[in-house]
Amino acid sequence: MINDYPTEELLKSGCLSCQGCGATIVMRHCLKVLGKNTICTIPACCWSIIAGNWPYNTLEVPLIHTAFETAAASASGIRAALDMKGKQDTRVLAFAGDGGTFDIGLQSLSGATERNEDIVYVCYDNEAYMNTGIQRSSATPEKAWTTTTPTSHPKGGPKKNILQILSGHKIPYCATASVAWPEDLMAKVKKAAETKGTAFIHAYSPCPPGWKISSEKSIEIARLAVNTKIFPLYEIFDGEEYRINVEPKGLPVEEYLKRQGRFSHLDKEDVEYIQKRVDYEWKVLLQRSMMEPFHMNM
Amino acid sequence: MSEIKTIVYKTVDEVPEFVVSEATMLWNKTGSWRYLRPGYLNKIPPCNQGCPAGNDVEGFIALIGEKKYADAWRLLKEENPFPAVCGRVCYHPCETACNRGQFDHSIGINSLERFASDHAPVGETPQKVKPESGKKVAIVGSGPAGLTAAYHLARMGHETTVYEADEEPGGLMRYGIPEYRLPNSVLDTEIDAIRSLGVKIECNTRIGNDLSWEDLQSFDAIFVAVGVHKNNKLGIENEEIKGVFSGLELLGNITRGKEMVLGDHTVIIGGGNSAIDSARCALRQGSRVTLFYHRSRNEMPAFAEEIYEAEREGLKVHFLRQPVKILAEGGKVSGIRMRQTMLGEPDESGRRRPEPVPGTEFDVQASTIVTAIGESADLDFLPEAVKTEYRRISVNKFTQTSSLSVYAGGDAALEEHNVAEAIGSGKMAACAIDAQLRNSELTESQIIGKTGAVSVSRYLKHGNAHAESPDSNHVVEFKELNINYFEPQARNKAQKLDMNDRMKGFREINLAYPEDMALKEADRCFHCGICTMCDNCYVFCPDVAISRKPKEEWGYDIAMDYCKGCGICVYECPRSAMFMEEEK
Ligand SMILES: Cc1cc2nc3c(=O)[nH]c(=O)nc-3n(C[C@H](O)[C@H](O)[C@H](O)COP(=O)(O)OP(=O)(O)OC[C@H]3O[C@@H](n4cnc5c(N)ncnc54)[C@H](O)[C@@H]3O)c2cc1C
Ligand SMILES: Cc1ncc(C[n+]2csc(CCOP(=O)(O)OP(=O)(O)O)c2C)c(N)n1
Ligand code: SF4
Ligand code: SF4
Ligand code: SF4
Ligand code: SF4
Ligand SMILES: [Mg+2]
Repeated sequence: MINDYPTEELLKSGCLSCQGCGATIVMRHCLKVLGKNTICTIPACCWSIIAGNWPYNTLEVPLIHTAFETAAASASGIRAALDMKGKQDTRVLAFAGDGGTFDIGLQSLSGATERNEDIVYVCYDNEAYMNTGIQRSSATPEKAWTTTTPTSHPKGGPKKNILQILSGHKIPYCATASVAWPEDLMAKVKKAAETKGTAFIHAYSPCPPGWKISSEKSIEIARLAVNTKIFPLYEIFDGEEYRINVEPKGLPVEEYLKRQGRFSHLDKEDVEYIQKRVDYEWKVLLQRSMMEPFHMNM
Repeated sequence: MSEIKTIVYKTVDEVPEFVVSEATMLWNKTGSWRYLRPGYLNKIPPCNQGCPAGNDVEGFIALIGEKKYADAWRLLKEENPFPAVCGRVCYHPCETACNRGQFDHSIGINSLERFASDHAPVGETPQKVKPESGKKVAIVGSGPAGLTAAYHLARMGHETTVYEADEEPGGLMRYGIPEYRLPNSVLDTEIDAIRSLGVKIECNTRIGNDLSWEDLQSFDAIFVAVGVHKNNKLGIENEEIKGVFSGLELLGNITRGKEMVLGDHTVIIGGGNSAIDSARCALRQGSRVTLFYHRSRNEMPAFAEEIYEAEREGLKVHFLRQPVKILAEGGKVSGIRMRQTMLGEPDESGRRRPEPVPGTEFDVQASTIVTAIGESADLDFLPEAVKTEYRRISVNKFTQTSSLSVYAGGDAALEEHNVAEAIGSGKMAACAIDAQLRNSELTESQIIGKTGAVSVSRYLKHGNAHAESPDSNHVVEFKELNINYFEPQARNKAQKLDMNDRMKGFREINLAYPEDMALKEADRCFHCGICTMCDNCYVFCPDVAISRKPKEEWGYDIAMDYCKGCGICVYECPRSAMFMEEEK
């Protein structure tokens, strides 16, 4: 038994997610840490559906549905209103998909981040626009199939590195997290909540229908993503200090790719290419993690 | 806000000014989406199936892990009256079956069994489990098979008498296995517990001699477990001469405290346990010892670990050598003539047959010769109605012989000759006899897994705990585990007595695990097929359909109203303690 596992469930059963939805597990664990004194804002994405239709809400915290591009902006507004009412201890959670974060919401996110708004922003990344039918986003991995990148024209160009963009804003805290490491995820949400200023969590969230995997394999795929170094788990403090949280097993990327329908068209060269790129990115990450952070000695 | 609530606005006025939610989604029974249904189900760990004595291996290891050492011992005692014996001498097929063996190295089950038995609460004896039946059972032979049957029959409420030809009970546990592997005091404690249940053990009573088979006819059932004690002859010249002993004779005499003068060089002929233990005893008497075996190392029936230890103690082993004749001088042994063999075609045992190589004879000086090429049962006292084949009593899987109310087990009836198998047959006999005497149906529900031994606990429940599901007797294979939750961890090895201290006498060689090591070893167990409440299923369920049961209870509930049947819980269970079935 996990002794200090928070047993309060602020996400209730009956929600509208697909079988084995990773994004739902992410939300469940975020709220376990943030607690009841939280206001959540969600832009257009799967989660706008998962939460249920008016006048119902599957979350036992207030939830504001907002426009696709406005998660961070609406979170900033909620923060300002709470501050004016003297409710500094109420937490604001912006919970958005990869489309709403990497693509259309990036401008408002950059703005809020630059102002260092005291919010927790969690991007659940299912690597495409799933809600509208599996269209590619800039978070879709290179060479993956989506409905707008059919196997004849698979997704070109590597996945956007959102943490590099966020850490470029020198925010106090940003991190990657995974559904397969719930304790690590919860520890990061806790750090994010305790951070004064903007905290950003990039949470890897398998989508069984979108990735063409069977629902029971959600966690397995997430675990493989970490262990093949495709999605390493790490934190960046103040935009500079890197800390890798889980030592990947270093499995070949093929182990990850071959289990998903969205990669079933890849040939040997494709796999080799992806392996090389993953190795390169991992080397970069390792080097960053070994660098001393900047200190002004005055 | 978390009760099920549906909201219907009948008029526009009822609609709130702001679009706010007023209830959760609990009204939405997503269980209707499901076409596969998960469930909790404890299955059979392969170690349990692999233990011929029918120990609940996983169960006792779990209790050691919780530092409940006395409870671990109690659990063992539910099945096996001899955990302290088995924890020392069993050749542990459970470890061969252990799933962890396919991961890094199997669990040190045998050493843990010994550890649990070392922590038995002093003076505590097991309780009876059924009311008195008023029936009487006779048992012939007080080896592990006979005493195990007696133990369980007494617990099941039958008046039980054991007849033993020798001076003291225990069979080969006492007169075969030497003290450096099994101290008599350890054996005595476990036999005393059997006596305390009211079992009468009549020693110095050989059936067919001191009492006749007919004398036993007043009993309601008879269990025959006389072992194999007749030494097989080499069939060569001078075999009856002074200075030639059988292995059992040598070992028995040492146990009985008879003085054995072996002289400077003892030659052992044979390759089984009797041969190896005879050799090691002779070494402890100060003799130089050479063992000749007519096949190669691979075919040797003795336990490999014992051969290895014997060689470390100074035994010289020569393979592919066969005796031709015993050499005599002045009416006693002076040596032995040997010759080389080579391996030919496999014989009926599947091992390659040794064939003599002509012209390779050579003589070896010897002061003592020990012949240990196997033993067979002395079954002359049995009536014809009890059928035998190749000097073995014929039995079915329930230990029933061809004669009604006569059962047989142990070495005298089984192909495999070892303590755990003997115990297993004693348990089967106890269940079968109890069923007969109480006029209840004898089923196979007590058999663990597909090929396993008997679980008396299962028998007592009549059927098994999970009778409602066909999978409950399913033995969990390695590939069914989710090994991502386990890290490689070296096996903990118990210490052995220093070589110098060993050879001075008969002190026990294998030392027990210290507590910290036992805990570390218990921690390595995967608990294949048995829920440990690790919480994985509960933590990963996306639909919050799994909840822990109230504090005092074990396990979890699945809210079938909401479970969408994704299967994550089942897949992420490290130990396959769940199952998934098609929704009906
Ligand atoms: C030297 C040696 C070492 C061994 N080491 C191991 C080991 O390390 N591990 C292991 O698992 N196994 C070992 N074995 C095998 C194991 O001891 C036997 O398989 C086991 O004891 C068989 O049990 P049993 O109850 O069938 O018979 P036994 O233990 O042989 O007991 C039968 C009893 O019946 C008595 N008896 C016989 N005839 C009559 C009669 N007519 N009337 C009354 N009583 C009678 C005998 O005196 C004897 O006491 C070893 C055997 C030997 C010889
Ligand atoms: C401005 C605007 N454009 C398009 C849409 C349609 N739309 C709703 S959700 C969505 C995709 C969301 O993708 P993502 O943010 O990755 O979340 P997911 O659905 O994958 O969970 C789109 C394109 C919209 N709601 N608003
Ligand atoms: S009796 Fe033998 S097989 Fe059974 S648990 Fe003990 S060591 Fe293993
Ligand atoms: S790991 Fe534990 S439960 Fe599994 S087979 Fe080995 S001893 Fe038995
Ligand atoms: S994880 Fe939850 S929803 Fe999925 S099968 Fe198990 S109980 Fe059902
Ligand atoms: S996942 Fe853990 S808690 Fe759930 S059934 Fe398996 S062992 Fe038990
Ligand atoms: Mg998405």
